[in-house]
Amino acid sequence: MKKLFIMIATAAIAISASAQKTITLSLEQSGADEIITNFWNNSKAPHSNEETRDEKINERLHFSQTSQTDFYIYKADPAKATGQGIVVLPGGGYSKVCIAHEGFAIAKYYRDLGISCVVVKYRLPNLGHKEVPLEDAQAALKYMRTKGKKWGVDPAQVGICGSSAGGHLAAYTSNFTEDKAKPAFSILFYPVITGTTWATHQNTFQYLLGKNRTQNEQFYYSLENRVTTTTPPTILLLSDDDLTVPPISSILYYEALKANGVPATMHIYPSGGHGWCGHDEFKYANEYQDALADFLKIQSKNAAEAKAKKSKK
Amino acid sequence: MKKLLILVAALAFATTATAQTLATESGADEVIRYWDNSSAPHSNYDSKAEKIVSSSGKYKVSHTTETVFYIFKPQRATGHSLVIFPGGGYKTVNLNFGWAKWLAAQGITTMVVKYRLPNGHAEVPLEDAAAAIEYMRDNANRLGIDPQKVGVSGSSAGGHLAAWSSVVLKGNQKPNFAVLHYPVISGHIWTNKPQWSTFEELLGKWRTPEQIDNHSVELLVDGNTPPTLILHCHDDLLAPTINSTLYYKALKHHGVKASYHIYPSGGHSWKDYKKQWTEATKEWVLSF
Repeated sequence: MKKLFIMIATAAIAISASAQKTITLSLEQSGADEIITNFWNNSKAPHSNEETRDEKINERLHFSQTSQTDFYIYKADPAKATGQGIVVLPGGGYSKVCIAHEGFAIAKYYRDLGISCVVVKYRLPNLGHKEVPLEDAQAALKYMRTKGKKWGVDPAQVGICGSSAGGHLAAYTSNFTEDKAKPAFSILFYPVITGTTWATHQNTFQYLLGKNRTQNEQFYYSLENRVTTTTPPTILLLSDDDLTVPPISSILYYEALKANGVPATMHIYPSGGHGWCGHDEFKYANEYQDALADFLKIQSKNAAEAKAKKSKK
Repeated sequence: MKKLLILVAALAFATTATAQTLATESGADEVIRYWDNSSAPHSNYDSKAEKIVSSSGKYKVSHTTETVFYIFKPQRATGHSLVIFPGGGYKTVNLNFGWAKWLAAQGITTMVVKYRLPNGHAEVPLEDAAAAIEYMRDNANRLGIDPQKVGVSGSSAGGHLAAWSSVVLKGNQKPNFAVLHYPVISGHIWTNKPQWSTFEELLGKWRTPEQIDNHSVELLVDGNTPPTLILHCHDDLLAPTINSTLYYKALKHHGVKASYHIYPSGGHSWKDYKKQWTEATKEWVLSF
C-alpha cells in the first residue's frame, strides 16, 4: 500500500513537471545567433522560484511566470569584435521579462558595436525568491566568460546591462557577487535602485522580496546601500520626467558610487519618461547611444591598460 | 597741487584704459558700464584697483568695483537670451568671450556680466545679477529678444550666482531657465579649499551657520525655481559632483523640470566633452 502511494505521488509530480509549459522564441523572432533553451530550470538550478504555473507571453513579447532560464546569444562579427561581452537583463517589475526592446533590440545594437551579448530570460522571483534571478544573472556571466571565448569575448571584459527592474537586477548582481566574478562594467537604464523613499516602485520590491518583507529587508536590497569600492564602473541613463521610477533612484546610486570612488557617468535627459531603451524613436536615442559607445570605449581602453600593467609585472 | 593733479589724471587714465581694452578686445556688440560701488544700492567696499590678467583670449579680473555688461547679438536672433556669470571662486571674474560668441552664432543673444565680487558682501553680486536680468527684459524690444525667454548661466562660482539668482529673485528679475556648468552650490561641503573658500569670499571669514544655510542654494529651491540644466564632470576635484546632485535632488523634490549630465572626465572644465556640453546647452536654451 505504501509503495502504491509513493508511486502515485511520484507520477503526479512527474506529470505536473512535464506539463508545465515553457516558452522559447525562435531565431527569427529574436534576431539571435544561437539560443540555449533550458540552461537550467527550477529542478536543476541551486534554488527554485516555486513557480508551478505555465510560462506565458503576450503580443508585446513580455514573458511572465518564468520557470526556465533561456539564453539568447548575439555574436559580434569577429572582424569588429572589441573583446567585450554583455549580459542583458530586461525589465518588467520583477513580474515580467520584457524581452523585446530591453533585450533583443539593445543586444542587436551592442552586437553592431562589436560586442557579443547574452540576453537572459531569467526566472522571476515570484513573490520573494530573491536568490533566483541573481543566480540566473551570475550563471549568464559565467557562461559568457567560458563559452564566449569562441566568439572573441575576453573573460575579463564581460559587463552587465539592465533596464528598470532589470537594472535593479544588474546592480544587484554587480554588488552581491564576489569581486572576481563581478561584471567588468555596469550599464543601467532607468534602474529601480532604492526602496527607501516615497518614490519607490513598491511592486518591484514586493515581487522580489515578498508580501511579508520587512522595512529592513527592503532597505538592505536598496542598492545604494550596497555599493563598495569594488562595484564596477557604471553608466546611468534615464529621463527627468520618469514617473514610473523617479530619478532619485539613480541619483542615490550615483552618490554612493562617487562616495566609494567608483568611476561613473550619468545622463538624465529632459524627457522620454520610462521604458525607452532600444526604442529608436526616443528623442535622445542618438545622445544615449553616443554616451554608451563612449563609456564602452573607455572600459575597453582601461582593460587594455590593466592587461599591459599585469603583463609587465 | 600739480603733482596731485597729474597723479589723479594718471589713475583715471589707467582705469579708463583698462575698461577700454576689455571693451574692445571682447568683440562685444554693446558694452554697458551699468553701475559701480558709488551708484549701486550696495558697495563691496573693495578699495583696491581692478586688475586684469589676460591669457589666450581669456581675462581674469580681480577687485571688480564696476558692473559691466558685454552683449553679443546674433545675426539671426531666435529671441532666446542668456545672461552669463563667469566663474572665479568669487575671487576673480574669469571672462570668456569665445563662449558668448559661439552662443550668438547659434542665434542666442548673450550677455556676459563682469559682476562686482562680493568681498564678504554677498548682496553685491546678487544685485548685479538682478540688474543684468532686468536690463535684458527692459531692453527686449531694442535687443530683439523675447522677454519671457531670458535665461541665466554660470560656471563654478558663477554657477552658484546663476542658481542663486534663479531661486531667490522674483518678478521681472526671475530667469525663465538656467544652465549650470560645474556649479558650486552648497556651503556645507568641506572637501577641498576652493569649494569652501568660495563661500568665504561670499560671506567673509566669520560667516555663521545661518548665513551658510541662507546661501546654500540647494536649500532655497522651491516650486517656482525655473527649469535647470546641470552639466558636471565625475572627476571634478574643485567643485565635486555632490554640489549638483544636491541641487538636482532639490529640484526634483519641488517638481522642477531639469536635465543633468555627469561626464566621465574633464575635471573642473568641459575640455573632454566639449561637443556634448555645447550641444546640450544649445538644445536646452532653444527648447524654451
